[in-house]
Amino acid sequence: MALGTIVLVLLPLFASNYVLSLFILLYAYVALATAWAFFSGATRYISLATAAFFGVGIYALAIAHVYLSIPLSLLAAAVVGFLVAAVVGLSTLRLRGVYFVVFTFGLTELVHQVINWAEIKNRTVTRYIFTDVSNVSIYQTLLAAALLSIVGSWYVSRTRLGFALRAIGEDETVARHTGVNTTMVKILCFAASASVMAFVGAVLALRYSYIDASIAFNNTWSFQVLIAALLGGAGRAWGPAVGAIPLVLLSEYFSGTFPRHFPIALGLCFVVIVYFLPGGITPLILRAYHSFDASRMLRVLRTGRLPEGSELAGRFRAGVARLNGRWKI
Amino acid sequence: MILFEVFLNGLLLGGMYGLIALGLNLQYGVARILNLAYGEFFIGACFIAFFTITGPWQLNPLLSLFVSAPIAFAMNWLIYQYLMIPLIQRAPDQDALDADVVLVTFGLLFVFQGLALVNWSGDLRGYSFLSVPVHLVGAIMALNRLLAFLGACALAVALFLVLRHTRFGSALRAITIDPVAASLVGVDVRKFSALAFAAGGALAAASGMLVSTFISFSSTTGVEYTLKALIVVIMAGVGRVTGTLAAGLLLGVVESLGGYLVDPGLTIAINFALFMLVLLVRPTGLFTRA
Amino acid sequence: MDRRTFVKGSAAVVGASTLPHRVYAQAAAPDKIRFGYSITQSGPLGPGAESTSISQYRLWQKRVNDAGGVMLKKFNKRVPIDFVAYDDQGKPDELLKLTERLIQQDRVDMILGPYATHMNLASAPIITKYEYPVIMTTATTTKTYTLGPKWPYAFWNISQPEESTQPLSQALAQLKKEGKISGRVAVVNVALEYGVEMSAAFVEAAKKDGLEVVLNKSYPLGSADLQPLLREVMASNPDAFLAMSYPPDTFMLTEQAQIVGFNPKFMYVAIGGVFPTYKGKFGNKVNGILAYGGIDPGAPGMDEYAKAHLAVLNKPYEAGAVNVYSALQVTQQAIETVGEIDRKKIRDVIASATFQTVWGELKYVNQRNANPWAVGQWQNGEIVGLHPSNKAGAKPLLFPKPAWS
Repeated sequence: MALGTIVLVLLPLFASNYVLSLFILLYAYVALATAWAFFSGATRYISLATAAFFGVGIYALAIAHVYLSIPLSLLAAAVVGFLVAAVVGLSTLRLRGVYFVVFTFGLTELVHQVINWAEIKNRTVTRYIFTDVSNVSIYQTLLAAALLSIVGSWYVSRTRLGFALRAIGEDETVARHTGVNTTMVKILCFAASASVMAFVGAVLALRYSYIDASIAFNNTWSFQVLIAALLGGAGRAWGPAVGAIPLVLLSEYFSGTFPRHFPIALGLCFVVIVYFLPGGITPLILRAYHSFDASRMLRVLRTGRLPEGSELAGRFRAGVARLNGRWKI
Repeated sequence: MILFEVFLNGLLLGGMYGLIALGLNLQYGVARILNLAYGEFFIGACFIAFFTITGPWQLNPLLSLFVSAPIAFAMNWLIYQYLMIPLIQRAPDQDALDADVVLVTFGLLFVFQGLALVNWSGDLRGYSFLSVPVHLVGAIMALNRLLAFLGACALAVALFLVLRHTRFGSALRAITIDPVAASLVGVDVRKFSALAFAAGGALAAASGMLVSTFISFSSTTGVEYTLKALIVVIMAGVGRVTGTLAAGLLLGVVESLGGYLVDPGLTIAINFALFMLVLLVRPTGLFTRA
Repeated sequence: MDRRTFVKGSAAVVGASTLPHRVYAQAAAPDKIRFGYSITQSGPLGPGAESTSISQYRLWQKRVNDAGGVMLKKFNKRVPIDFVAYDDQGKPDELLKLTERLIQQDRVDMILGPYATHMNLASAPIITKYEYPVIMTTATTTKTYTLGPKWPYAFWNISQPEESTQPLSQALAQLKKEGKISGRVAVVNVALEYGVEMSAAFVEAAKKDGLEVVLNKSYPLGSADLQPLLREVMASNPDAFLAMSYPPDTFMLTEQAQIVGFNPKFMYVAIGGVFPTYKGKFGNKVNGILAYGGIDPGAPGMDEYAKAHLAVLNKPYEAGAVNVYSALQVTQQAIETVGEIDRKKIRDVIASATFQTVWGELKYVNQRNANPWAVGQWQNGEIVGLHPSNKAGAKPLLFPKPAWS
């Protein structure tokens, strides 16, 4: 783990700008997905407002960087994201289930329309962002953001706050009756995850040159972050990160190899993943980690055969049988 | 009087919203499947109607319904049987099912949209059909929009009658209220859910065909309609099929009047604001009993 | 080595060194010229990318390769074009990454522009950094006047809001002077950057030209019903109606204007007004409608272009895409002038030479197209250019627009 981190930190020294850009996008997804799962994974309030806070961050940067330095502007974006989410949370965290989901989607559209209208009234519908921030700086900032999100999420999950979040996810009524201030907890954590999303948006926007409301508020961010988090598995702090990696790499592979067929390929991938990887990739990794047996692996490598009665073979056969049963109508 | 015309057009617009949402309410309310690929069947029907009138046959696009509705019915039935049932069988609760279903139907959305893009390109399409004015008490309405509105009313009434006065409808209502209890009283939940899901798809096709007479569309506009439908379904209350049209009408009228009286730039904002207001005041929908 | 071999060998060497230069050069000539582009092929961002840009890239490649390829006179050889294409899904982040991939990983020889203003602008810093000259064909924003020195490798091909709207205002002022209209103008715009800039530019010009702007409102993209807005427009009793619109609303406004019987004598729509599918939907009723962009159907090469378009792409050409095709022609001519793939020299040629294309004569001043077609009109079922009126093939304004029925 530590070795991996060192490699990533040193990557800019020997990788091309293209690889850096790829990793920049990867870190962005990791941070977004981790922030998303921090709230939505634990509390089971599935939010589609990622794009709203991401866009808020872009706008905050666009406005702030004219008056403030870039680091301060990024900070401002995070603060604005936090405040907007707190206000929204106050009014809406009473909704449950699919109502909350659709509401958060509506929120993205609403913020988009309102900002658009406000900008038009101000006669500044577009904003230009000309900065000299290098790819390397963006890379480092987002790497830090991604790592901090994971560490932060992990740390909080071991505190009372994390416990409260999970309790809300299990059964909110019971949680409230056992003394958890559910409103406070929900708003705080929703706002915290939103501030990360806004921060990421602001950092990415440094390279955009030009924005308007429809560019800033793009719903595909909400969907793809949701997919990354669910794919990875929201059970562990590093789960969403694990989901983000194949998402970004697969997209990259498909958009290059089948540019016209990219949506079809990606869609098929998701369908396949849901059926064969329920719960995301995390359970697979955990199982593999726990059942890793060095001597057995060596034996397999030496003989080239799975040992008889091995757990793997048994599971493979069971999996096939399950599939057969599943598809029988 | 212009205000009256704006109100009437708001009704027509609302009829469109309700029409689009009818099928989705069947799918989500009865079959409990939040189908994000719903709009793709809507758009598919739009394209079929487009080719019916602009292709070599030059036929009335309404006839395309005889092609698009059965196809949509069959495809949705297959999707339910082979893709959704495994998910239902393994989901511990509705939330988990929703999560899985969202992912899978999202994947389907991508697949269908991709196929549409490859076959029909991203070009914007539209055709003119019944694009003539109708004068009613000094107000002008477009005949094609009026037709869609009447279609919406007809379908809503038909659905209402089926749900209230047929055994099939009773089975559907029972499943909507409580699938477990329904199966206990002998309802074949799986068969009826599949039929409801398929019927929802057919309704999507019908609404697509009607709306395509006055809206321009392309391979990528499906998502927009799925989300419009979803909003109306949530506003009406999941499973309240008969309330869907009413919720749509309310939305349409408020959006039209609001845009006219306040600022046309805010029409969509008003649309969403109303939706969110309803959610806040009556979280389970306008027409639920709770 | 014996003497015979030595003599034969040296004769060969001497003989070879006196052969024309091309024999050696042929060994070093590339067998393909690789063009890379990252463009929106999926996602919600505009159905226009395929119709306006991608189709033109493919058509151009086919026509060039059918003729043998691009002539590289340094090697005295025609070299065919190969594409490396990516889908950026309409997201600036993807575009940036994919452009870098094209340049650093795929090492393409040249780059073609993406689609839509914000994508063109996002890619400009990168192509400048790596020194790839690119003509941006779908960017319209007032800032391009100042972007020349900032991004020396980016060229801007189409007319900007002021260039597109001032001629409209002047035409209206002229009509007012001739007593043909009262000077009342209604403007609506789609609530996007493009709509707002066009509308603001027009209103400013209108005020200077002494016109009366009786209505100036905006509506969101994706509006499902614009009839109430049109009613307001009608109520303000204008002679001229201008809609700074995007394709879906261009279509909707035109249809609903017919429904409510709104018959302005002067009607302008923006994006989408030149689409063949626009004419396909409205037939002859499009005659007299003005739109953004224009062409000269009689420009040299247009006939062959139109025929090839039908043959290769199975659909009639779109006036808005002609600009994209012209940029491709400029690129080819610049490469042929330089004679090899030397991107700095190609850039300098684009910046200084004058080119003949299907879009008329093209010349870039400070990297901006000096005289792009700005306003067009449907006349007799085809799009013609009206402004700038000093361009070859410019037609006079058809006024008034015939009534709908």
